[in-house]
Amino acid sequence: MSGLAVCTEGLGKRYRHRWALEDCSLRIPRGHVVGLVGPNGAGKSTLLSLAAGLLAPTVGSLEVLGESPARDVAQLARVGFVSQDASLYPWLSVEDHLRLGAHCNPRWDAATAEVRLAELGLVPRQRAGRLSGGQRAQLSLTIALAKRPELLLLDEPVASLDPLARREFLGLMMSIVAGHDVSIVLSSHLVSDIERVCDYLIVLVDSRVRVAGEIDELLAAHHRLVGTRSAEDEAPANQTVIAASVTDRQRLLVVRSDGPVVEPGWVIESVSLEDLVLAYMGQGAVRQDPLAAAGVSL
Amino acid sequence: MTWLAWRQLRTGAAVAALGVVGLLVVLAVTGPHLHDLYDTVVAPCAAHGDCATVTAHFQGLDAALRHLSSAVLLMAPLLFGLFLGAPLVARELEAGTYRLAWTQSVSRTRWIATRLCLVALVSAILVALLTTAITWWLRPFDLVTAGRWFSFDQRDVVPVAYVVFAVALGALLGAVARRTLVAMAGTIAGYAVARYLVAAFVRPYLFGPRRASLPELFQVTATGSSAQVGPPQPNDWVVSNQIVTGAGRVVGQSGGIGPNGDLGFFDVSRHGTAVFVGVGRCPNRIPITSGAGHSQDSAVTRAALQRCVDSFHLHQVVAYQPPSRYWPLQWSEAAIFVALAVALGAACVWVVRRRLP
Repeated sequence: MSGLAVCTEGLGKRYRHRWALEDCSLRIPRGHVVGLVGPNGAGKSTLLSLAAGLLAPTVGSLEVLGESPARDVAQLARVGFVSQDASLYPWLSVEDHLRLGAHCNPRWDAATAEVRLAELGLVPRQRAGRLSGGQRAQLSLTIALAKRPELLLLDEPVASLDPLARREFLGLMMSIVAGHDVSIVLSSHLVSDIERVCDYLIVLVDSRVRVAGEIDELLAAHHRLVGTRSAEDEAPANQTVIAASVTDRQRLLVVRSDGPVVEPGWVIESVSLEDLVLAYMGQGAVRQDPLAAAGVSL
Repeated sequence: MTWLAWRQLRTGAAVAALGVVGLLVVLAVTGPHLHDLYDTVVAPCAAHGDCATVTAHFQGLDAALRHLSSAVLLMAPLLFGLFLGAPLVARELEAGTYRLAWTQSVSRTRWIATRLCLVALVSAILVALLTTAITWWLRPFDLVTAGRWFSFDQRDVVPVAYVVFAVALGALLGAVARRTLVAMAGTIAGYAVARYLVAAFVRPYLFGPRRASLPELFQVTATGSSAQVGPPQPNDWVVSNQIVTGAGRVVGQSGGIGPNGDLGFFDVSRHGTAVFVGVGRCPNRIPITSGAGHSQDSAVTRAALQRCVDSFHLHQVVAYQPPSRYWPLQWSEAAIFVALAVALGAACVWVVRRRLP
């Protein structure tokens, strides 16, 4: 069995004239909680929908748990999916949704699902259309989990939730990860969500993957360099500048280097996850920046 | 999966069943009286004479309910296609619920096939109930009017085939258009076109119509002219009725001269030469009594015109379907629509599998 949760090679998806995802090559190992982060419209939903088998790729290849997505019923049973707005049938009650799951999934864990709904305080006879956003997300997650999947794909599950509901949802998710051998890919446009629960990061901007890797390794490999404005002409050697910015008094660089960083004239600081993500998100913009034309090599 | 398919259909099916049962109750209450009246008064009247009054009175009974049940049977298949067929896939795509349905451990093929079959089956059962009840209820009227062919598409088995077709059409259009309203509009148009094409171009010629050649009794009268036409038997379905000259030239449709079945006219010149409009030049001269262009007021003139008519040896060629073909045609047309439904259903499965979302 492949040790990869998701493996893509040159994956791309085009809607009519627009590429929603381009040239995406990823190897996500199993056993991680993966944060897929990027601005709205970056292609996060497209990537997750492709992985769930809801979309077919335009180009490239994609394997989920070593098989092509939604290839057969067995593969569908191994992947749980929670869609962006927690798609539920509005006129079906909470307990009807559990029945739906029980009738449509061979490995359905009815007992756990019922216990979880009781813990969440969801009224079984309430229609899904009358649930709050947080309750909808929780019910969706409960259905996806009761499938006992090996991989859980969560498309912006907390985007529409208030901070408290968001915390509860992520808390529930983490308690489940602790109890089961399940890999999770979670998309969000907020770094704070990712920071709280994820140990693996993928930054997706303008339908392209900017960076992917374990968060610890990424943080170790990136540094923030603070220099004076006059340091402008000294380009740092054997490092990749991810982002550069200039204030009135100083110059800031976020660089990636695999070895130790020794830069005379620069103050070297570690980066936070937010700095890292923002550096990669801003990367596209930096290229058009006048600064780039002034000689900053990228 | 059957559970989900049934759960999604349940409400719609219940509403439809309620309507059907309501109409069935009304028919069950009023029907026995009509049948009784027909058996005891209308049918035996031939022995006593004066059938016209009795029949006319009988045909006036329950007019509202008769029109209603005919309309119901005409519209029911389309309504099922619109409200159960069109939203089948389109609604899921619009509401985004396909993302829940298609990520359970059920293949899309099974999902769409189960739902399509269940909706088609329930619709077919309800329409079969309706058709059986209404056919029974209208039977006394059908016997009086002897117009079995006129209500061919509102009786017996064809409505059941129509509804299966309408549901499959609605589902396919919904999957292609991805919008319920667009699918509904398309279903109305597609259903109407398919029904028209089959009724106009397939049903009459599916079994080669029988042909009969009848002498045309074209009488020149004081007020103009009149033709006596008619099918070989009152219960025959006349597919076409042409007037043909002795030379084999078709000069009229629908039992008269000209494409619209008008009666014949004469164009008589001042010199007595005449043209039988639409047929040909009269071989004999027409004596003119008053000097006017169109003079038919004397017996002599009429006789001359009749001689002109007779010279063309006009006769009717009637193509018709005899009553014995009623049931074979019912089953054949039903088979055609069921076959179309199967093809549309297969296309719908393919679209859901391969082309969506």
